[in-house]
Amino acid sequence: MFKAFVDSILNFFRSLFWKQEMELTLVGLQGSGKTTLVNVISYGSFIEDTIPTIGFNMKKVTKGNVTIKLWDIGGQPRFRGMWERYCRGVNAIVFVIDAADKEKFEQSKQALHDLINKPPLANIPLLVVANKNDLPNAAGTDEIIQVLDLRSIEGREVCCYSISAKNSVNIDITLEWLVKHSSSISK
Amino acid sequence: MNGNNHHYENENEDDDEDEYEEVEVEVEVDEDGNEFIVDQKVLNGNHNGYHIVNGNGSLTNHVIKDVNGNIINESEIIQGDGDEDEEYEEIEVEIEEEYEEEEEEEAKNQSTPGGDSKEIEEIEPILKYNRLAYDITEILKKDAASCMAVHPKFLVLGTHWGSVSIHDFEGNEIKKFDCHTTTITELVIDPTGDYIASCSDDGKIVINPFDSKTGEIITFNSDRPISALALDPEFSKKNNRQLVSGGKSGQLLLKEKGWFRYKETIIHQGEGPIYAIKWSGLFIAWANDKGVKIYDCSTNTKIAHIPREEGAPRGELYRCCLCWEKANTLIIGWAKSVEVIQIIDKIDSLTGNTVKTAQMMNKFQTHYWISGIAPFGEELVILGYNDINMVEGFDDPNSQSATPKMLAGTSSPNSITGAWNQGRVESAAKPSIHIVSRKTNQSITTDHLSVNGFSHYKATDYRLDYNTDENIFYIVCPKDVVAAKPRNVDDHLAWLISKLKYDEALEEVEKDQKTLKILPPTKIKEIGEKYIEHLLERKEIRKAASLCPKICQKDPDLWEKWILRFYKIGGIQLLCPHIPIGNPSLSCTVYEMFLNHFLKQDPAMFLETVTNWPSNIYNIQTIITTAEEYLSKHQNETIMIALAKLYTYENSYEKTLDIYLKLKKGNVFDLINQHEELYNSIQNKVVAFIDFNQQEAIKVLVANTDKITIGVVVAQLSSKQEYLHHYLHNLFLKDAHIAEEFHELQISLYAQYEPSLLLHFLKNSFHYSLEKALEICKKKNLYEEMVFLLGRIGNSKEALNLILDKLGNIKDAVEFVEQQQDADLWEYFISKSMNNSSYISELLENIGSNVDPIKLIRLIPEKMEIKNLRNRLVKILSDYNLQMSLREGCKEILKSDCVFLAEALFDSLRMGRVAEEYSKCATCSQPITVPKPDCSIVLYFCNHTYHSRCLKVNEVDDPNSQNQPQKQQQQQISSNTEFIFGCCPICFVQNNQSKLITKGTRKIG
Repeated sequence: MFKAFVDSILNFFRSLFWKQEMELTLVGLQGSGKTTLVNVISYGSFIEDTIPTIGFNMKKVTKGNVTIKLWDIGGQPRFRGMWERYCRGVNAIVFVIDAADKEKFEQSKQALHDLINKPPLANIPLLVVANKNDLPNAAGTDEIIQVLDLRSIEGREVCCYSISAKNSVNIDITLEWLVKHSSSISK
Repeated sequence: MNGNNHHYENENEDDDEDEYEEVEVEVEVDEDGNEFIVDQKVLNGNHNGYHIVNGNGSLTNHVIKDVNGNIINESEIIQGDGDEDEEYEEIEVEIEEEYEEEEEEEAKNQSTPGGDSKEIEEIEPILKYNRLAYDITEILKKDAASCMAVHPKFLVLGTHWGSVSIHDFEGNEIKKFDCHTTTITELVIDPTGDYIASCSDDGKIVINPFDSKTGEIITFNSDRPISALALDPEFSKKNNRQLVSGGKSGQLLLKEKGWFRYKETIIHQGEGPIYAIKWSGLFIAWANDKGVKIYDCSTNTKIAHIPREEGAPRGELYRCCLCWEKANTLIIGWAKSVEVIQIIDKIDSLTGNTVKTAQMMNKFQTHYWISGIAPFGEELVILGYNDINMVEGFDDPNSQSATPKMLAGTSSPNSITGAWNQGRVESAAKPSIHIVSRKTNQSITTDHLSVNGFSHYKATDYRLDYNTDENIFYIVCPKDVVAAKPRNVDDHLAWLISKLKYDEALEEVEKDQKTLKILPPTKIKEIGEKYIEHLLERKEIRKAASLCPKICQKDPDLWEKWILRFYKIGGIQLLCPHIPIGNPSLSCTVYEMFLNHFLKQDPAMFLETVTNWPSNIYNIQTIITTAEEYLSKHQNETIMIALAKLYTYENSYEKTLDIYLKLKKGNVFDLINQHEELYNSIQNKVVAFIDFNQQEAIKVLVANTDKITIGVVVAQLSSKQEYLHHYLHNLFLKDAHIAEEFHELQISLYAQYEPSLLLHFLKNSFHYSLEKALEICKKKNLYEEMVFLLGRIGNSKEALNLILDKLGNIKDAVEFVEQQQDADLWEYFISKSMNNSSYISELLENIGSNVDPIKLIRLIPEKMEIKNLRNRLVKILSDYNLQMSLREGCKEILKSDCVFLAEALFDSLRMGRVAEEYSKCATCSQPITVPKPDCSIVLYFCNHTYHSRCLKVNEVDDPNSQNQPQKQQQQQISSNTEFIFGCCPICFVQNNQSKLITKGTRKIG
């Protein structure tokens, strides 16, 4: 009881001075590793068998003084129509791509550009995450930038990282980038 | 109340008492344990008809009404089997159009000003409906929905079995909380989406965090059913976690987190059960039996009470719908009345403080029971529950033996189970969605929804939840959840198409293409193709054809598809002007198909097409072959012309020429001018060529004798004498010598066709035999020509005879004789004329000075009467006189001239000559003044001076030689001092040289 009391007092003060909130939406084709990435971020561990996301998942993760609300949207074609709805008003859009599946690059590009060209999503920062860089034939950041034609995107901040959710490579810098954007929009 | 299906109710008997009060009265149980309804409340006398929904097939009754509500058009469309696998299951909607007076009037003014005619145009529905499927369908198979809450990112559904599940907007289940045991009465989602609060008839309030790891589950227990709940809009942000609840207990409790535990504050109590609570910003609105009250959290005071109207039905029978449209605007829909309340600041006149008071902004009654209400921009969306007019027989339990449960089993694919079906009604009407204008409080449109199992629902079974951000409305009923969205462009198009308003649909698409580009570019094709198909079915082929360019654009495949389609229905002619010829080019076969078709069906079109189409888009050879084949069977001039064109494209100009000549049509001359090689081919068809256009053709032939030799032409024209004549004539005009070998032939041609020109020809040509010509002329009695010929031969007598005998023209005769300058002819002429007094008369007149008139007069036979003889004689005499006087005059003039000239000569001879000191002898070049022995000086008028001796030498010797030595000359001169000198030797020589024979000598005076 006492501990709870102290905790609540600490939380109270923390919330007064430190707490920041941010909302992120993860999109990307099916099987690109969005849910896995969310799990890695929230639990810090890689879970082997992730089932395909039906609809969406929502996770809240606290990193330091920032509470991140992660909307993880199903990547199957039938859910792509919902992406826009979940991306509205978030602090950043995270687009996850399977760097090793080159056949789907074109499809990814199409889906990404369709999404970010929607007027309500103007100006929302975009983070492209090239997942699965642990696989031997994974494409590098430069290739991803080229394939997704990221340079043509205007009017928003765009960043691209090559990560591995499995081996937790570059997860930290990804989070760093995200956290940096928590305060930029939500004041 | 027994039977297995009632266990739930039995468990909560006490709590459900009120909820099912009415139903319990109405439902009885027969001996077999089956329920049936013995009494159903008849509230409204309108029988609108009902439609049985069975299986997947559906029956849509479309009713169009005019202003007065009379049904003017009723059509039933039986739809095919619905596809359950579809992402969205379209639910059938019965649309009832209601017209507002104003709109009608406006429409009338616009369409027919001042006219009486009522033009009724169908109004497009505003909303479209989709049934939520996937997991929701699964849940509703076993369970029944009781309430729902909408968050911008997800839905929460509560059921009668007490489960709360989170869904995406398609119905996929995301999460599920099983924390209640019976009907969820209210669900509230914290605006951030972090918490989902639910309350239930089991008396529990549970607040679940969305992500269970990051929040605690808060549970409140109560011994009375909780029917209403509201969360502080800033629930997740504030730490005091305020919420308000109310229920059967009639207490409105504000719960908030204190230091150690939640504390409860009673805001209000004692006015019957709380039916609904809604919290917006500072205000909490709730409803109880007495009416709706509003509480201000900032001042902890109740600021408004909106009492229920007298005579309103009991509160629990119909759902009280509260919704905060804005922070200070509350919409209340309860039973049949709608009220809009606004909270405004007012300054209290007594205390001077600012006081918040509620103000009624709008209030109106509906003719249906309100089950849900939501703002929709300038309109309101109202979910209406319609009373059904019961048939008398329904009161008899035997006539309607089926229980509601069985009814449900037969009329709905989903067996209805669970608590909700206790004491269901049967044969209820479909719920309706009304879009109500706030200005007029009238429905703009009314849609009747065939939700699953609608015939068993009460008004309270329906709920309307909405998402204001996107204007999506969710109609929740126990076995169905339907989303209603404003129709977008796609829906608009679909509607236009279904109403066969393709024109408008196409316009919309084009507008979109120009501006927003929401629609995919293929949309225009999609709609366009439907439109064309539609027009074709209605046989408006022309219009369909004119649409094709717009629709098919530059898509060759699409073009070919439609061309084939038009071909099948025989509309290819009309399509022809619209098909693309280049950019894009279709395959040769298509064009050839067109041409073949025209060839057989429409020669004129064939010609036009062949003329207009560039020749490279189809295989010319193929078409030529086909056309030739066709012509071998049928005669058709148009096709021949077309064929000629085709030959031109193929560079077979000769064949083109053949056709033109055959048809006597076409631009033969241009063709020939452009293609030199055709001269060769003309050679063999001179006759046809001239036939084509005599004048022009001959011109061409004459101008190009180098390419088409005269011989060839003449040979070919041997059968066409007239052409030959014209040809030769023109040749002759061009050059009298060019066709000399044919001149004889030409004479006969002239004689035959143009005798008048013959004489000219004869006079100018020298390449014919005079005898033959004469013969021809004789045959044709061409006397003038004969006279000419005879004259040329020299047979002037005969010619004269001809002139006199055949032509009888004495003037010509005189002229002729004059020309001949033959005295014998004159005599012959005169003698010939003697026996004709008129000739004599003419002769006398014209003979003039050619012949001595006396001779003529003497020859005149005696006693011959000659007209005007006297006058003619007088004339002859006067002529003679005139002649004489002329001669006299001439003589005088000559004489005086001679005298004048002689005097002038004499004068000049009398003038002096000067021999100057330095004058030199023209022969010896020595000064003349130097005295020489035996020598005198000779001066000539020509200014030459000589020594007489020098002159002497010249005289004796050759006067031309002046090279003799001077000494010899001097000697000779000295020997002959006395000498009469001749002419000046120099001038004499000059005169001789100029061959002037003037031998006169001049003496020195």
